[in-house]
Amino acid sequence: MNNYNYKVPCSKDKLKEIRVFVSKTLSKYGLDEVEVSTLVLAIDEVCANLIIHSHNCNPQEFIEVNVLVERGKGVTFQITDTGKGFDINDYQEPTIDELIKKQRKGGIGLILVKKIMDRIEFKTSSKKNTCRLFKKINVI
Amino acid sequence: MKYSVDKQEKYTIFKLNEEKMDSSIAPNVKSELITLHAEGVKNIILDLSEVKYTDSSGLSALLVGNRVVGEDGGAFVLSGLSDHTMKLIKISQLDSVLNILPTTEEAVDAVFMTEIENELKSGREGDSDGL
Repeated sequence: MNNYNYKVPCSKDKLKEIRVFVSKTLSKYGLDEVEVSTLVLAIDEVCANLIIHSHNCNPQEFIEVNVLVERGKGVTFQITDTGKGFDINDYQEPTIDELIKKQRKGGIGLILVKKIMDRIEFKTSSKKNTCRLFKKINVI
Repeated sequence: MKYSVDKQEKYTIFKLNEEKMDSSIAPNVKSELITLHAEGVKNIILDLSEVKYTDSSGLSALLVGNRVVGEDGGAFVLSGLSDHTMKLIKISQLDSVLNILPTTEEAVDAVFMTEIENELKSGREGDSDGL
């Protein structure tokens, strides 16, 4: 079991650093390029959501990304922040039809996150929000 | 944003020369597509062969392009998608909505086919009016 950690201030330009961190971490485990980029995207979407919507890009606040790799099981991403919690599981994403016809803005990111990940858990305790996203994947 | 625009009589090829179509690029792609359409371009081929990484804002730009072009009966065709982009499109089930072809050559053929179909259709409608 290997654990990797990355903490950044809530600023949009840190999203690139998070992508690089997740990508570099996952690349060590024999995953193919598309598997890596899909997971990077999912984490990017969740972090962008937090940084932009929950924290209004306030660099005084931080989010922390934790990657736990378990051989034979898969990868668990844990994203923690403080502040107003947002539970992805409670979010009713738009349907494809709504996206196309009603011009509903946004929502594709979270559709992707939910479809890419196998399990998403969210909990808040003493103002700390933890979002855990699990992906069953063959890590070498 | 780096891109090139090749305007032909029947179609315009918009080629995005960026590796990423993410939130720093996608809004510009969106407005360029809207501008082309507003300038009277009916059929747009979006060549994404240089783009490796796309995110939700990129997909959103594709949907906008598809909508504005489609509303006027034009063809909006995507070509040269990376495996990553294709995977996201499939995951979000947008492959049922978007017109996707492997190469720009095939996209150009598709545009001509659509044009011919439209002409035949309007021709037939004209005939029936006469009967």
